Amino acid sequence: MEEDNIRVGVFVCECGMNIAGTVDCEAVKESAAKIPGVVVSVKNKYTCADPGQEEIKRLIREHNLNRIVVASCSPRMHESTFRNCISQAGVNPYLLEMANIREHCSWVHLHEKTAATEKAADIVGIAVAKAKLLQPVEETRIPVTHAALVIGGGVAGIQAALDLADSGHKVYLVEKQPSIGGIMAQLDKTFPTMDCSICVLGPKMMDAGKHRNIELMAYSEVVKVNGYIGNYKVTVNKKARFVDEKECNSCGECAVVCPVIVPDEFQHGFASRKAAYIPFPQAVPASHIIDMKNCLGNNPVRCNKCVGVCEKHCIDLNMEDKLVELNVGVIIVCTGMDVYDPRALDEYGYTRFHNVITTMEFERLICGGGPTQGNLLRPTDHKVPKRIGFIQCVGSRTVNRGNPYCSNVCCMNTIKDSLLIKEHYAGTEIYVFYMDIRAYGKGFEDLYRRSKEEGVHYIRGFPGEVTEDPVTRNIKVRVENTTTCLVENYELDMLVLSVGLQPDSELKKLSNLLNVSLTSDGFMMEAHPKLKPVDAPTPGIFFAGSVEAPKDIKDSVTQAGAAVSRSSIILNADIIKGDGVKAVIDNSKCTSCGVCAKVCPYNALEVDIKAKSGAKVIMAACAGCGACSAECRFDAITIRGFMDDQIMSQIDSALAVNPQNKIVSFLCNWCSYAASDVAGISRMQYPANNRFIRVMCSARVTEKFLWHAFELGAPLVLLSGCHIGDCHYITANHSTQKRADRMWDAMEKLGIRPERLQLEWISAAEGPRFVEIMQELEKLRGKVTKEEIEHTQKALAEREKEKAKAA
Amino acid sequence: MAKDHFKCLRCGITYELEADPDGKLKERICPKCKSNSVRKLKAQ
Repeated sequence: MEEDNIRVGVFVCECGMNIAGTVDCEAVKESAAKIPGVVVSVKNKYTCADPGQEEIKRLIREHNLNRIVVASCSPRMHESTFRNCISQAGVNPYLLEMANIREHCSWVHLHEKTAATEKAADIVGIAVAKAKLLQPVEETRIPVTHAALVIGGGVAGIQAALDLADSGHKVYLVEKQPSIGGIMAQLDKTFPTMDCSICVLGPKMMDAGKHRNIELMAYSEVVKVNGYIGNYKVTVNKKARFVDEKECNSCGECAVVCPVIVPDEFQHGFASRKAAYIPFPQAVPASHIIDMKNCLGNNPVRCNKCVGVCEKHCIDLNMEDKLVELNVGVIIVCTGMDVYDPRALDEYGYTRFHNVITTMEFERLICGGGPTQGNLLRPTDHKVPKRIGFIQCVGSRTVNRGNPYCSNVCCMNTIKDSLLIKEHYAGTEIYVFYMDIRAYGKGFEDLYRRSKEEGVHYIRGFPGEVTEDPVTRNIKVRVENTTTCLVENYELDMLVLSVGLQPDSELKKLSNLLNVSLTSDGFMMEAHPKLKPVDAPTPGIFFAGSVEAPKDIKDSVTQAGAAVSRSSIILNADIIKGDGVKAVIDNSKCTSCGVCAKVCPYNALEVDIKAKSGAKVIMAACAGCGACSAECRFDAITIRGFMDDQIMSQIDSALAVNPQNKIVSFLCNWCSYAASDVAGISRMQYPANNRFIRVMCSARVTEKFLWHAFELGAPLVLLSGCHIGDCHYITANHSTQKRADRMWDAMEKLGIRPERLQLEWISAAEGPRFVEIMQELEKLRGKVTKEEIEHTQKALAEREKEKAKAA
Repeated sequence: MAKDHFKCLRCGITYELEADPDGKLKERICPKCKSNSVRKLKAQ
């Protein structure tokens, strides 16, 4: 389209006072109206609301607008909203550009109204510059595989699998343990209703094991994930259990004859099991398993007693792990959490005093299915304890030791445990040492009140000293009661550490396989904390339960339902529309050198180097990172929506006025841009002279963009993306690092200080780090002199002349 | 064991690390200021 035919509409949102409280939106609107190509510039109270969207549609019709700029919040928040809106008015959805004047401006420069207004006008200018060069993009149409993978067989995973299966979808339920059930299977009772945990969970486990639409893969782990929304290819390692689980009828004869006795992990070591065992009576699959680490097997001792006694010939000691390939349309991650290991906090004596136990150990001791058949006996002398203490927040809400967050369930769990003790042993004295009690849920406060009415003592203060009486093995606790302001001493028969929850130890590995991000706490990061709370940023991946943050059973089940609902939108469709951001080859320029194929992390480029037939893009596999485009020496590849001329025009606009005061930052959509949004949402403040250019991946930032910024007088340029190993596009940011290395070398050769190109990896959770970097960049910018900038521009101009001569 | 030499382009310190025998790309973090603007210096 000729530039004369470009008709841009700019819509400046006040977002109530969120933007208008800091930015003079009228001035921004007026400034935008003066930009060539802008036909109409208006201001709205809330552009995302119905009246705002209706005004966009009306003005598109009235002014024949064919490019739209919405200056409001982050595109990560409302890009899809406005794409839908303009699409309804007949404009291709990719002819929209958003100017983020809220997270990047009004919220982070709250006390610099003039600078914020200038910056907002610049941000809108940058967006208009790109919008004028936008081209219509057709979204790819992707066929959907009508099957789902649920990873993790705790209560959330079971619920998700059952709901999906009941909706008619094929489900693969993968659980790394030999049985599904998770932590809930180990609990005695649940709060606030005090119903039996396994009685609630057991039938659901059986349903999941028998459902015709569920293929249960217990004792299995996901080892590889390829593909994209609607078409994931997953490799699962089905570990050898050495027993044919379909044939085994759990008669238990193998366990009877097995001579090996080891601690039973399900009973937290308070009981033993054999090397041939069933994890717990209600296990699903209801099959025995051979613990090959401890089995005498064929080697070194030829035991084989279990093999001989099994009438159904289910046992095969030579069974091997098996890799299974699955094709699924969506993945729901429900891998739960780990319980905090209190050995690091030894001032409470967990490693030294046997009568100091954890809450999970307590659950097994009081459970009718536990090692003492529900008789609460203390470990040292197997007597019923008469005085029991609970210490709250062990490993939680501590910055230096343990985890900084509240583990959500521990207060209510202790209240429940105190009532359980009172129910079985009414005369027991119970003391709860706490910081504050968090009983916020439905029925929680009632339970807390009941506990106090039953005579449970709540003492505000954590013990400063825990010792053991060497004769009685009683636990002596010294505590400052902050309610009475007195130091108090308690002698207890047993002390229970109310340990917190933390991310599953293998979640990092799984997040790398799935290409999803984790928060700074190590839990799964959601696509949006409010609007997409069960979506991972990677389309087609959802999560439920404590994999996202510590939560109780009810919340886990609720979230499982939400994840199923979100998944069903995809699974119920035959075709879904994929993002239009893809690589496009200009075959007139392509020399079939093959460099693009080498850097593509998805093998989405095919090049026949011998035939010289030009590179070809496999559209379904291309993720649009742009690494190929940046590496192509012949400008033969571009990325729809992030084309070279579009980005160059953004740089031009960013540095059009007072370039010596500006820092140009290239931010990747998934991590560093998300971190900048976090900084905004958290109202963290930083200097107002940074101008951001969003790219899908830092690997898209070609050297010519960086040189162009320096040519235009930028004192400093930041290149920023995901941490190495966390790149949303697998290894695309490796190209970024290599490119930065090349740039630094080239800058030095030209007499330009390499320090003027900064490289930072910032995760989506690192809002504070983003702010710290912005502040540091401003210090570095202050050190770049006018003469230095002029020298750079001269050196680059000389270089261009020489290049032209050589050409 | 061979050493790689690095310079932090934010705070300016230079430091050395044992070279990765596999040449695998690892995240570079300045031990002083934690910046990733760390340049690998050419062997003298």
